[in-house]
Amino acid sequence: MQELFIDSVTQSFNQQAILNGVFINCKIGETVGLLGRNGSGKSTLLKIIFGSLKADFKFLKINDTITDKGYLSQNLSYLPQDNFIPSKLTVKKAIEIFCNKHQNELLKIESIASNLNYKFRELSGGNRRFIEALTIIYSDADFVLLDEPFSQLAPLMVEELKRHINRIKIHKGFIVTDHYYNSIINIADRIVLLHNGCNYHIKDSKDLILHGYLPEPKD
Amino acid sequence: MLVYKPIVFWNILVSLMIGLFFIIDGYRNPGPYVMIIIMKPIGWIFSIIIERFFLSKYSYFYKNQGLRFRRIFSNIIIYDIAMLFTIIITFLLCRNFLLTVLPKALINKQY
Repeated sequence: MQELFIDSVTQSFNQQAILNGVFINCKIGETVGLLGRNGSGKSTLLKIIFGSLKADFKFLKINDTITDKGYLSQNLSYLPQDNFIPSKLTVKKAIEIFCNKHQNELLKIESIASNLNYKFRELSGGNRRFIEALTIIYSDADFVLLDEPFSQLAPLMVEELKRHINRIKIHKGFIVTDHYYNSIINIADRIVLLHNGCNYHIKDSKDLILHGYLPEPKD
Repeated sequence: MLVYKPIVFWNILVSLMIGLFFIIDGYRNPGPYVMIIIMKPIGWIFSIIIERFFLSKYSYFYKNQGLRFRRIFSNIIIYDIAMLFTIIITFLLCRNFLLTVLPKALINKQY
């Protein structure tokens, strides 16, 4: 079964438990939204799944194969919070490196086509973030982890990015986290909230209020 | 993109210097072999330290390609060993030219 599955994630910093037995799964064709307050461990969880951070304990399975570091499966892509593509690389070269399966679809996107021969250092901050996000969304991996993909982006770009995630979703599984919770709620099939080191499955916005993620509405 | 280019050039320069010692000192003397044993591992350690600084900036770029640091470092060493052997063998084959004809020609300002 094509599924990313991580269970019993335990991580602590300075003897303070950030994640305590957290589990999350994501199937192909599904977008899982990950919400939580600042410091709740959202990025930590994504880094543990990807393998760039070693957890105190975890059990990670990608497509029925137990793996220690997600990125070594070559079936997992991760968009970090900061720029990650070297500045001297052109957009065209980055696409050639990361996107083979869906390259044609990616090249049809206007903002990609018009910047194809530009180096990343020549792009504006927002454009650079947008193109990096698209490169990861359309990458060859089955599972994609997006850490704050909507930050630094103008509202139109956020909407376009959401469209692309929904379009490519039939081929991939996404785990997305961001503080723009409305955008996450819009694109996610399921919402998982990280709170007090544990994960809670959220049915509606009332649950987000109940767990203290959203403020109580004032009458 | 995978390696920091000055490291590669530095390692090639060290290999060329070792090759030069082979020509001067001869292939039967232990001196140049001792140089390889001492200088190359030191060079690799420095290469790994410098490369680590260089790669940490782009760690997610490499990890998104499924590459780990260990593989990049082992490739640096493997390619350097291959380069060293190529230089030593080339120098061995061209020893007479390098030892006699080339200095003579340089003295005569033909090159």
